[in-house]
Amino acid sequence: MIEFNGVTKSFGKRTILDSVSLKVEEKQILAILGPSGIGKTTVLRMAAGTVKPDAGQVRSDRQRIGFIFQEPRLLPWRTALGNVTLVLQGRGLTRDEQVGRAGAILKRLGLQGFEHYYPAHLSGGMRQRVAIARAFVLDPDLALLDEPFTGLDIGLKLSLQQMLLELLAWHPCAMIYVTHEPQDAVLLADRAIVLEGKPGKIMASMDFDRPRGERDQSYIQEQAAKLTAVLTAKKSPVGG
Amino acid sequence: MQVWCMNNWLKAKKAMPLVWMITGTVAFTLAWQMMARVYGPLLVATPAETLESAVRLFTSPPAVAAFSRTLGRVLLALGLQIMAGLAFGLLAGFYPWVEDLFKPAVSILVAVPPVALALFVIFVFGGGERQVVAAAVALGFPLLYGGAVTAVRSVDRGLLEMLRVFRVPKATQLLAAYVPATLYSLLPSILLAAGLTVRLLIMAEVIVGVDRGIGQALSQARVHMATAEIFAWMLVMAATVLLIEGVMLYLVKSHVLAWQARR
Repeated sequence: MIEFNGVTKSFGKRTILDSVSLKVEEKQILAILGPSGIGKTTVLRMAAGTVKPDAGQVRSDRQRIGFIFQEPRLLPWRTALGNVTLVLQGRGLTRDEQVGRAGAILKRLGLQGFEHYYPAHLSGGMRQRVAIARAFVLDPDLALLDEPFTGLDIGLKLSLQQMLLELLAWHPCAMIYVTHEPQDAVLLADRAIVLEGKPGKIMASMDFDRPRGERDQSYIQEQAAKLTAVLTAKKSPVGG
Repeated sequence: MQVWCMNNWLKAKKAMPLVWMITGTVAFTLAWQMMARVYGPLLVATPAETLESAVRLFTSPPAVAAFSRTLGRVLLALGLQIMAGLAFGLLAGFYPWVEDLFKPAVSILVAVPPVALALFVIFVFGGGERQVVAAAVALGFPLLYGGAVTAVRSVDRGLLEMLRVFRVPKATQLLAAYVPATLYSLLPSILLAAGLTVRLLIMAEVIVGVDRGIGQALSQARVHMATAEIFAWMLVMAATVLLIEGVMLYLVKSHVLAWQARR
């Protein structure tokens, strides 16, 4: 479980987030939507523990955190395998165990045969798959996704989303997913919140009651339309 | 016909740098020959005499030993420069106070003429092989140190955030991210330092008068007024710089930069 209680954060004189409260239960997926610069990524950074709140509390019992950034952020001088094993270092695993685990997840993501390729020699979609492998090789109990499919073509995006769903079915974990796309939120999340205003506050919250595997296109369209209406309407802040 | 002409034009275009290089070499050799005629064989050896003398040097065991000795010192000095530049550059890159601490010493090393530093080494530490290598390291160090400081501070912030988020141990962060990133940014400086080190080390050998080495051979040739031999050693020095730079470039391109995008 991870919980934000009345979290406020400023950078310099600019307050980014104001009294944000939210809770993500075990194996629950929360989507965060809102305009650029509203503080969505700051929420992720605080959940990851790299940014501290100025006021309020972030409480987490998460030990292993997987992070997928908008861009793959791979070390260019390490191979796909080297990039995945990197995050396993210092975790009490032998070199063979690290390579075994990294190789298995790369294979699961369709990168068998590309383990020894450098990022520059892989396509954009393959690089993002390596980044997904790096996040999930840890068996994370919290996955943080910062618009990981932005800028990808629609075919690639759908295929990566499918891979992510398969990974979540194989290894369910709590997840916070930042996105601009209401449809993506409905496809993946159990719940969505909308950040709005300056400074950012939670303006709306929406639950998707139908199980992920049973969400057909019409359900996704219908819920996405509701979410879009929330995003475009002006509302008063609500509690997380 | 048009395709044939186009292909030939492209081939000719590709060959142009080589043509200009050969033209430059011929022009330089002609100018050298003219200077030798004007100043006479005592002051300027002709290209043919120089080449003949260089061939003689490479068939003479003492000359080969002198060359090997100097090459060994150059490689040692370069290795120490890289290690010291990287280590202190990383430290200064992480901690601004270390940079401030080093600033006066580095400023002096940059400002003082190499000859003055070599003379200082003789007066203070005496003449010897270690002193020559130390002088070359001290003279080349600021170049690599300065490059390393800049490189550390320009390591991709996104990558560093990724390492923090995944809680990668500090030692692994240093070895997996900082050292490679700094080393790769330093490659142009290392190539530059290689050429500089050959020149500085031989100059230090001449000034310190260290036993065996190109510096000593040059001094002896000067004493014996063997102009062609002096010119031959100069040719050997130029070839050594080109050789070291060539080998390093080859190693860098074939092994170190294997991860870069294919062009």
